[in-house]
Amino acid sequence: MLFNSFEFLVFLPVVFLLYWFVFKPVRWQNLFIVVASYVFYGWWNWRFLGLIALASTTAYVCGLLLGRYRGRRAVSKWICGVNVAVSLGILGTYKYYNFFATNFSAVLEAFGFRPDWVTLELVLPVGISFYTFQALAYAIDVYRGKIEPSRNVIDFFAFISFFPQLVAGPIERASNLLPQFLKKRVFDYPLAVDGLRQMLWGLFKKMVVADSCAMTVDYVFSNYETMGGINLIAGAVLFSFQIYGDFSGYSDIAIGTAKLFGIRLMQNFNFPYFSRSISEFWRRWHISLTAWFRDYVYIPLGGSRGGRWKTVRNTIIVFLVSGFWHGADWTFISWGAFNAMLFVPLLLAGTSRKYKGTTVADGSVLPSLKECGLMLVTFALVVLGRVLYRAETIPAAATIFRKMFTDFHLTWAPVEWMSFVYIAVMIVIEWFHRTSFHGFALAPSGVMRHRALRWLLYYCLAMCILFSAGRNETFIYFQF
Amino acid sequence: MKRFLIQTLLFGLFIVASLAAGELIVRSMENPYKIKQRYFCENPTGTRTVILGNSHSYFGIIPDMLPEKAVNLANVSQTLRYDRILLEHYADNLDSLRTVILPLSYTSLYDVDLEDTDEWWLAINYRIYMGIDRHPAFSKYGSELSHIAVYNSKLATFFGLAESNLSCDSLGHGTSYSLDRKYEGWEETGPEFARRHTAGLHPEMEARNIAEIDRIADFCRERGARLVLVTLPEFESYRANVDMARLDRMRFVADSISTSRGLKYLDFYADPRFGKDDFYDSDHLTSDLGATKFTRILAEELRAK
Repeated sequence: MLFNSFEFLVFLPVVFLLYWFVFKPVRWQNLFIVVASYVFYGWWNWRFLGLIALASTTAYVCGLLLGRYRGRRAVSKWICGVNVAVSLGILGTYKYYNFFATNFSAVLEAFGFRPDWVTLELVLPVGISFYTFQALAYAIDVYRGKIEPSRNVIDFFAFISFFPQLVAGPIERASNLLPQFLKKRVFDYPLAVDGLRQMLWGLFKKMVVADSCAMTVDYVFSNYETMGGINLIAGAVLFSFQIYGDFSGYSDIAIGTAKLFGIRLMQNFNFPYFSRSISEFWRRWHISLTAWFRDYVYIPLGGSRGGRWKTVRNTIIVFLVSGFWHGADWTFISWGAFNAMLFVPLLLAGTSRKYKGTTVADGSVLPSLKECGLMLVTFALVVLGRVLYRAETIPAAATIFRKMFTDFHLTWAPVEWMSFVYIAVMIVIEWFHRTSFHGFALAPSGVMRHRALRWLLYYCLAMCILFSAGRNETFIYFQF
Repeated sequence: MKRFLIQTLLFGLFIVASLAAGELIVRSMENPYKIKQRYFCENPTGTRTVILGNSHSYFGIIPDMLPEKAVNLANVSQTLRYDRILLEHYADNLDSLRTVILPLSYTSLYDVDLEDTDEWWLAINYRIYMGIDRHPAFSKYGSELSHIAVYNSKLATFFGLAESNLSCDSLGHGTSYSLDRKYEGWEETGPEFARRHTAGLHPEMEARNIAEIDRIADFCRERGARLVLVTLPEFESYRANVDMARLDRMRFVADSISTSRGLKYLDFYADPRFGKDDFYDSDHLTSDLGATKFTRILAEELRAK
């Protein structure tokens, strides 16, 4: 079930009303959340409900066993290993089997062998990369003693399958989300209103901004061989806004929806295109995933404790794995490598933590010229990386790069000119909320203290969303 | 909670009211279906020739040029089933009927129901503007809002943000495929159109569609009218890329039906009299030059015994 579908428009109010008015005790609410979440996921394909159940059950049982055998290191390690094997096994089979089979076959063929591998025609279950990581993180946190194992299977299943964040994150930590399912939820009016606001903003970013860019982006990248360099640059820029609108929009809708149920999810995007450096960008983009890789890959590898070169090695590994997480394709791995290449110099220069905890133009309305320059340079580097992300193959990406820097003519391509207007509106609104939790966190102060004005703004956004509806563009991150 | 629900409901009502206003605006706009319905309101009797079919005849046959009083009841992507339904729907207005022109194109025999295609929303027009009650009023076919993308594009046309490409005259002839609106590279559309149409063929529908032709033939026979089967011209780049077996089958069926029922079958598919200037794209005649030439030729055939 998509967030921007008629089915969800019916589903959400029904679930909301039942949650607050019928299933009032916490245990009943959690059970209802599990049922609703499985209906939500099963609407797409009920056959894959078993996978979520398997990942959830394995993590839950492993958590209990880890709790029982705490202190017995070897046994605990083995139990944690089982959970890792199951979670990564599910992910590996559905997402990476064909990649490894095809590439291994190519290597063997290069040595004169003719392997007869079987590639599997598997449908990639939506959200698999997200809920497996969430389940994995839980068991590892229990193993590390960071959290106590959950002793209620319903509460745990609600944590893993909570529908707003089930298919495209944020990848929640048990330490944040699980306690919220254990305690009684009380309807919070300001939180719910802010949730609706955030949902509205997320829908605007997805359906208006992202989807308006899609036509041009698809055309340019499908016909890159005949496109001029200017078209390719424009296509890459539009894709950067498309993916931001799409993914951060989805996160906003997910977080906003959760707020309606009294649940606070973590922030997943912190206005990354206002970053002044690549290191700042990666602290602001898909925060839940970068934090996951930091805690469960970078730190176990040694983090920054083994000296400069080990830090560099660990950073490169994290970026490569992150690229691979995005897709079973060399283009995504190359994208990871490209970002590592941009990040490592900052690491070596000791400036990777610069701007941490600060926001551009803090205390000012407008950025300085220097800050503008830094943001533009960072954005340009991100756009270049997006070429690898979006191109079908590495040779295609190479052709696009070559043309971007050598071919300066303009070819005809379909353009929805309003997409530039929508992007500008998004940038302006998010700029003025860059220190807030989300881009549409209207503070009831100044002109916004007038309800009529706030409602007019909501109405305009809603009309823009409805006027853009029907394009049927799916969420990009569903493919991960 | 109460305050939240009331405010959300109130806001929701504003949105619903806006959508309803949009629905009224869209329904107030002129469209070919409304024009054809209006024709029968203004001409309750006296119509002697009815043109059926899809976009080929919608753009390609000019009623005004036919020997007798005619109306073009063809519509974009109209199936044989809807051809028959329209005849039956307007039966009371066809007491003077003498001729029914039924185009058969490459895809006609292999069309599925319109409602089972990506263009299912076209069925909304039959329900709302022509009153054809094949579907209940309170169904997705009873509101323009059911297909929000089309609803939005119609609103965009109303507010001058987009151009409509479905203008038609008072006799139902589509006029927007004019020579001055032809686009560059139209000749190259042949392979793509043919491939798309071939991919959409459903051979298992042949018997059902032949049955529809039989029902139309029966309708005509009961009223003493003649049924004329016609295949309109296609451009060479389209013809070169169709599935010849399917095309030959369609022609064979048309020949068989016309022979067994004593009908006329006029096959202009590869007629050399039609050149580049007569086509709007590889699949349609221009609604001015091409349609004029074709209708003149067709009229001569209709006058001949």
